[in-house]
Amino acid sequence: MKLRSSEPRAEVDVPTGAWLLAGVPLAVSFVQTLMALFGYTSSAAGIKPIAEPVLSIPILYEAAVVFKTRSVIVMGLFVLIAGAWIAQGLSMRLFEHREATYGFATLAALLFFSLFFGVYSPLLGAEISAAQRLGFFLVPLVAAGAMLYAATAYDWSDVVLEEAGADLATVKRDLANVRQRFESAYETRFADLDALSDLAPEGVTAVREGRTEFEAELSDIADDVAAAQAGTGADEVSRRATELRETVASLDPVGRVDALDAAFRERLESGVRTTYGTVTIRSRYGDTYTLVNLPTELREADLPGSSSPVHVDYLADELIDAVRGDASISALADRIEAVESHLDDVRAHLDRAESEIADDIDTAEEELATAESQVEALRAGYAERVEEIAVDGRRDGLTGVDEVRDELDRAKEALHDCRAEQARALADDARAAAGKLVPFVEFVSTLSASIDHGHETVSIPDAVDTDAVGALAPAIEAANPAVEVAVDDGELRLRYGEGTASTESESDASDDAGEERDAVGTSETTDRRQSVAPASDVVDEVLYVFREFEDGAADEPFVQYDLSELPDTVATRDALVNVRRFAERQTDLFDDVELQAPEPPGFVEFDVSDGVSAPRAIKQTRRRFREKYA
Amino acid sequence: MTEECEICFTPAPDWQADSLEGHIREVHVNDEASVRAIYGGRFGHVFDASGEAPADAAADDGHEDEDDGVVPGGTTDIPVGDDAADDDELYGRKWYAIGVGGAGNNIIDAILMRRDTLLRNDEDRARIWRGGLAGYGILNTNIAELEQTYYARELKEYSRNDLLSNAIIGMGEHGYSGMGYRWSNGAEVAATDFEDAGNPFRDRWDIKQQDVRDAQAIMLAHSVTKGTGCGSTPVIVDRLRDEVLNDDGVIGKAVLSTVVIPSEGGKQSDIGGRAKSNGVVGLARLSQSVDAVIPFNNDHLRRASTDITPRIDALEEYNPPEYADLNKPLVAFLEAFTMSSTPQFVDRDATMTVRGSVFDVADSFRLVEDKYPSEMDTDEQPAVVLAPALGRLHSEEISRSNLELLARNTLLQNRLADFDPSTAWGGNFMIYGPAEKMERVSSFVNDGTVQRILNGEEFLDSTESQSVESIDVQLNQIVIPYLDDVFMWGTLWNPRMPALEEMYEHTRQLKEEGGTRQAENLRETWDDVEKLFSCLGRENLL
Repeated sequence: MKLRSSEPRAEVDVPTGAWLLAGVPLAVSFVQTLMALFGYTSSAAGIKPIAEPVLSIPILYEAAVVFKTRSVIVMGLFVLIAGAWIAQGLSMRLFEHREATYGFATLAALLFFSLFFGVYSPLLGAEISAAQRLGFFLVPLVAAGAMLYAATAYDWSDVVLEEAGADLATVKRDLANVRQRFESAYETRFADLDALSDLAPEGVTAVREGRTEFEAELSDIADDVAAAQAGTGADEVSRRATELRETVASLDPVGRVDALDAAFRERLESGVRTTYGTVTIRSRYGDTYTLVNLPTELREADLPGSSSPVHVDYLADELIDAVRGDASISALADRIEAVESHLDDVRAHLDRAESEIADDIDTAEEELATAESQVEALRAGYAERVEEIAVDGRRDGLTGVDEVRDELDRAKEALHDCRAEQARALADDARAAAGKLVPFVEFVSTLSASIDHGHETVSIPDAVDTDAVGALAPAIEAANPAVEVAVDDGELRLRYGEGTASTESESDASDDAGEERDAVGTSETTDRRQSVAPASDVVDEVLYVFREFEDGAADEPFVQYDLSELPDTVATRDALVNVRRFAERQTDLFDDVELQAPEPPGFVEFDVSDGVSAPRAIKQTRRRFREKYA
Repeated sequence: MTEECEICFTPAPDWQADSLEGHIREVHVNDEASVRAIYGGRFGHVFDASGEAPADAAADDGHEDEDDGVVPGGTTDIPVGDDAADDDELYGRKWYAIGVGGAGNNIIDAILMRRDTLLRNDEDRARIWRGGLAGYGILNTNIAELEQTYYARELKEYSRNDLLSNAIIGMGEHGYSGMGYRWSNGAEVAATDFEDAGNPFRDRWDIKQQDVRDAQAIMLAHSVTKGTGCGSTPVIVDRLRDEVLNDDGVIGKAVLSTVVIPSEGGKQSDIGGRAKSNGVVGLARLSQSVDAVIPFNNDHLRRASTDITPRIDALEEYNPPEYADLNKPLVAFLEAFTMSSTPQFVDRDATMTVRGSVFDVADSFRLVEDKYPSEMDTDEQPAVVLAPALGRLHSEEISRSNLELLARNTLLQNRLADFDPSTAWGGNFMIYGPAEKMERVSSFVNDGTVQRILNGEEFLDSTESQSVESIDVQLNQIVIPYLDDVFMWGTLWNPRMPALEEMYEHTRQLKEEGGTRQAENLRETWDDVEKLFSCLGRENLL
């Protein structure tokens, strides 16, 4: 109980009046008690003029008789009633303590009832008029009612506001406590959350959003508390204080963190399953490594919390067990970091192995491309034999482009199988083999020019396989019938028969006519490459042929056209070979184009690429040809 | 590779300064002439009155591109065309290029598109053309051909009226549809532009007179098959000398001509004898106007185009399809020629480690002029024929035999015209490639191996000469860091050219036996023909 800081109210309001009214019987009893206590009679006390008219009322007389016979009890009860009444007055007016006021008022009322219906109960049966008896026994009722009314009707608003303010302060403290408990639990639980953001980005986001959401909820409550504290309606403030107290009491910060944790683990598990379910490392060549073939120290990872090394294929299982178990997020982050670190080691190991052979592979592929383009560009009469030797590899001692490519494929395969030593050896061999091709092709590319100029000896570069050059000799002689070719002492010796001009040979004369090499002249059809006009010379004919094909194209993956259905003026070697050449370069449209014969009778066959219709492919080809040449 | 001052040959570690510019400021600040002679305008700002480097010259060693306005890796903001060629005070300017007629226009287009391709791709080689082109212009009698050019459509965005005033030959004198195969018409039409004290260089054409005067040399590009290239070009060159160059000095400005000549047995000769006689007459007339002729033959260009394939984006859009591929090796040859005397275009440090000498334009033909008969009047001596060749060595290994292979590839396989190297009066060669390969090439050059290969029986066969004059072979080398292979570039002096000889015989027969107007025209110019052909082949070397 505390003393009101403000001054007691000076005016006598209705509740105070009621309280004073309740004091009237007490005053009478007080006088009566004093007189009894000190043995005074009304005469002796000099109040006879007052007492006699009072005592002339039968009920009061009888009450005085009872009082006289039971004065001790009456005085005791009086003291108690008076004390309670005074205490109520003080609680109400001085201390403004509502509960005390109600308590003392109730006590006083009960004592009143005890006094009248206990001590004065004989009066109930006294032979006195009923009206007097009723009036007498209404006194405690009125007094009790007055005191209770005073307690109830008293203006308690300041008190209520003060109490609600205290409640709200408590709510605020509780709220801060909830916040602190949440933060503490959150920080403890999600200490290394960032470390898992790559693995479970949505989970991390959800956790952060959950935290933000809960903090926003707390902030809203804090705002409500502040709003309630600023309120002036005592009852409303009191009601809000009660509601807020209940709201805060219902908050479960640790439970909230638990929920976030559970949801996060679900997503983390999904992330682990996705990322490490099947560990795949892809090389620069597009294929994946077979990790099971890695050395033991890379095939198995030491993870914190695991008693034994974990095979790379079971990393996900191990992590998922940890996620589902009681491992903390921090511990999970450590394990995942260990997994990543191990996989980094694996990647570094593979990258080293890859880099060790990449130069060889790149160089070999460049050399092969160079050799192929040079063979393709070769227009000499012996070009086909060069292609057989350098590309097809039909000659011991010189590995052909195709075989080197196979070797490169095997090197890549070994690389992807994590057989680094073997991959290195294969790539090294392939590079060496490819390195021999370019000098050979480069050398033979210039031979026709040497023959044209009538040179009798041509030194063979050191890097060129002389046996391969020797193998080419018959083809050179076939292309240059008046020339005898021999390889001797690192030189190519050329002997010219009669009638051989020392300038342009027959084969090269056709080159000077600006004619292109005809790939149609394969070994199956002819052993001499026959010349074909450049596409620019037969634009109209080629466009006509494409248009004819387009009109007759069925929507099938493989289409065939009868060359004999073409007009004679367009069904020429020049036109048809150019049709085939141009079409087969459209690799996005055709898988294969075959011209059975460069002139009718025969068929041209188009193997159309997947996903492309034959009419569209032909139409597109015609359009491209027109754009290029027309 | 250690940087070195090319004036005092002090290596970078011995400099007091941190950079070459700092070294020049410290040691050579009083040697402006030497610095400018060695480094051109690269350090011109050091000698400016303010002494402050201009903002756009901040680039120092290894960062040259930054002052080009070229954004590395980007393609949209790179200046091309005229904008790209106007800020090169840092570099010497070599050619003023003029394309005459359809073929000439195509060649100029190919050069400009090559330059712009390199610029767009932010390649170091872009500076070869940026510094190499002092200016350019195209001329034609055919307005339709002009309208189709990259020059007109992309660089100048000319309308037909613009082209009439800026690029047409014989404005108001014909129907602007070309001269056909009549070279005399081309000559007459070109002459009308200069009648009545007319000077289309000054009054109409895009060819800027001051730029022409400032260039080291003028390079014309044209064919000699048809009327405009064959007929108009000599007239234009003569007037250029008179009206623009005012060639009254001791040594005139070098004028070279890149000429496309008909192919023996090739498509052009199928047209008939007119192309052959035009080829002979055109070369002969031209040889009296220019200092040197670089003849190209389409068939040989086609053969080389499988091996020499410089990247020129979208060339097919502006060059006729049949010529687009052919012009690529031609452009590659001219690109190498352009860098022959301008080592600052490429990585300077790398270049100088090889210590290769380079040569000026005049070096390519003046030595040959000295071999002409003394009784031949200087004014009447024919132009020097510089037969072009450009070969490539793909092999990784650099050995004597592979250098023989390179020489064979260059002089036999990849001749860009039909000529016999063993009949040449000598030749000028340049080997270039990446540093690691050029290091090895250099040792073979320095010990005379390459020289012996070129002089050998298989190639120039220099011992086979009846003349007291020596068969000179000049050999130069340059490091081009961004190449993969080693290239050999060469011009052979006045060799016999079988295709031309065949055309000469045909034309001579026509001249001697013909009674036509064409034969009469031939007779009028026959002296020039004889002068030219009397200087081709080693048997004509006194």
